[in-house]
Amino acid sequence: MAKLTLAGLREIREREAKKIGKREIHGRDVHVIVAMGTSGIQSGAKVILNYIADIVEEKGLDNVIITQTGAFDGVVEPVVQVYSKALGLVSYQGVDKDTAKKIVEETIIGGKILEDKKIEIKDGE
Amino acid sequence: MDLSDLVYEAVKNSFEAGASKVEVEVDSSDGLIHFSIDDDGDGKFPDDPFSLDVSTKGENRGKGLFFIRESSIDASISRSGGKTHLRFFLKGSAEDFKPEDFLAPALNMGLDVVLVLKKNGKEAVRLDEGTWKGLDFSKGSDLSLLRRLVIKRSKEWLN
Repeated sequence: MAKLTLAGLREIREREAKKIGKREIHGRDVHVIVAMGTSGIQSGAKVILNYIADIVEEKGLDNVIITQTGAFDGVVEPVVQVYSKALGLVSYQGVDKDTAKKIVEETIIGGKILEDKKIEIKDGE
Repeated sequence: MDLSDLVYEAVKNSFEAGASKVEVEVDSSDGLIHFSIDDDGDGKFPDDPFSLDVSTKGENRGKGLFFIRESSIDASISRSGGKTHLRFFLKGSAEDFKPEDFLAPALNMGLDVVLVLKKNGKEAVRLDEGTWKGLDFSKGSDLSLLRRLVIKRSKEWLN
């Protein structure tokens, strides 16, 4: 077996660090992303973001990270995405307060997908 | 859209213009509520920034300022001293504005926000980094704590 050069070792180290970084973000925390473009705001996305934060706090879920993104085309807003290690990225459309509560209870806590609200959003859309 | 939506739209514009700090001042007096939003963003705006679908941010953008103007008695935007100044006012009172509703998402974006609540031109409440020291705005639980903190402090404005 050929010896590894310093450059080779460095390359491996950087590649593995990226993988570890990804695992730490996606493995430890649940990531909720709320689409907060103007159309989303008009549809109540701000209310949904705040409501999800309130339920998360009420249930003592300290590992839930919430961030915001812009609008998505061709969807019924508000849109909420949930990334977890168990389910990967799940996107929901037309999220009202009832659905937001179900997302926390059934998807984030229960690990189940709400099939009636689920949509596919491709990366870059 | 309610008043906190309009302020959030303004603050979102500041963020998209590259601002790191936003100062929001809300003054309730004589049946009117005045909003002043100053930011340190790049301040590039087109000739009529309040027109629908006019935006420096690309296609299908440019609704936020339009909605602000449509909702207001008057609105203006200007640039001086390296800052962008947005001003708008409408009929309303302190009870009509829920600062906690826009502040949590605004801080979640990573902006440094200073919020001053005034009554008849006199400062009643100032909320800034010192108010929410130690909170992590990416955490849902801390966003909720922030909201409760702001609701509590806002009562000083309403009284």
